[in-house]
Amino acid sequence: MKYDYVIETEDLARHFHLGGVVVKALDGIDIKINRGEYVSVVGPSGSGKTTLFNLVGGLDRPTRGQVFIDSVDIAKLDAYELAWIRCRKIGYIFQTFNLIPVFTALENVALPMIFAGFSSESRLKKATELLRSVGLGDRLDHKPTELSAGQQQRVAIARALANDPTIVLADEPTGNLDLQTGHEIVNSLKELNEKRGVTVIAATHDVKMIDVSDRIIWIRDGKVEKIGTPGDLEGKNLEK
Amino acid sequence: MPERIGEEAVGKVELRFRDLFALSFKNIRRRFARAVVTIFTIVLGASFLTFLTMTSLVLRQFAETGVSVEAYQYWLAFISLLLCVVSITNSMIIAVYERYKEIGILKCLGALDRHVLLLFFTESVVMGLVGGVLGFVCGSITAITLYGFQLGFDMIFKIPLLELLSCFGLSVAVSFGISIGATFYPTYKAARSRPAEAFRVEV
Repeated sequence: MKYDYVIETEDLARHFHLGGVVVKALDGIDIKINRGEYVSVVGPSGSGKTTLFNLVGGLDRPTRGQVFIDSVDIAKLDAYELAWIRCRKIGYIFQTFNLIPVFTALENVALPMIFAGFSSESRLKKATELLRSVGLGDRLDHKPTELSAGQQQRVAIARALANDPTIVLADEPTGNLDLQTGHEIVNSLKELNEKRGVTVIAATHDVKMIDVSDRIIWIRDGKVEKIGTPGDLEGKNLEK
Repeated sequence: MPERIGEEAVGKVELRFRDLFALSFKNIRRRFARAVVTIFTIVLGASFLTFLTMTSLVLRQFAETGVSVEAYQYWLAFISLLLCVVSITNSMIIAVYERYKEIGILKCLGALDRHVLLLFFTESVVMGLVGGVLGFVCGSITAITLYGFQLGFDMIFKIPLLELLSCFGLSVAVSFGISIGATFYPTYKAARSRPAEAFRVEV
């Protein structure tokens, strides 16, 4: 059996009930992501990017519609299988890094490998390698508060790669970073997409970060506005 | 239910006992100030309880000395004990809520609900036991000093060992019970929530 799409959504919707008002954060999203693609999801804040990220990553349940990962409907998975997907198949990168504050860089990166059942030596060895590969070989024993924002996000990237996921989901990975650091982070995401063949889905509201993508999905008010390539942007006002 | 997802078989997700203990102890060590505060409330409650049980022990041994406990003193004791129970519960609940987001992160990295529960339980068991033992030590030292001056220190040797042990047992059991009980609800709630919800919670 051949799996054409690594991620597929069908009429995906998520509504929130906030103080008696129904907020349609997502309202009928159909997207198909190919294996090994780098896809940027672009939209203004409040357009539903984070909600989409949470649903695709199995961190939240949709109000309506389905998410398929490797053609499997994740709503049909039990808690164990879902945990396994989160552990081994998907690496998450967040805007606010979400590192464990009392753990060192090394311990943070080694954490997902605990749940994957690796031995303590192999965890440390691999976590060290991963941190070296993101240029933090000399910061292994630093806690997140002792690192700059860009360094913290690189720890988060290393952590996302700990169990060799096939998919990396990044929610505004550059949102809390300055332009140059943001570019570095995006370039390292692109690099792991090219070198490791990892499918990357990165949400961003910053159009300066999308030139590396294979495809761009614009969303607005919880719906897909259009799907295009960076080429479509040429000659257009990028800020638009 | 798919046993395969894509080309891969669904593998293992686990938290070995060694790793569980290592993680829990690391958490207590790294959040030492927080742990000390939590343990301190347990010590207060447990030492108070021990003081009460020791008092009743001593008074029973020396019933003929004419020292007696008034009814209102029992009420005072009961209310104070209740206050300790509430403050232990409160500090345990807050200790879990502070780490709500962390629970979301653990689940994103592949932790099962029961892994999260086990992690927090191990921590609260350790704190409950340490608090119970220290509380017994503090409470009995206070009781012995106080009644020693009133009734003579030789009475220490007159207290039956078995009753002393039951005081100790009660102190540890109550501390253990309260810290487990107070950790269970907030942790259970946090562990069961979807990670996306855990991230939205602001404490």
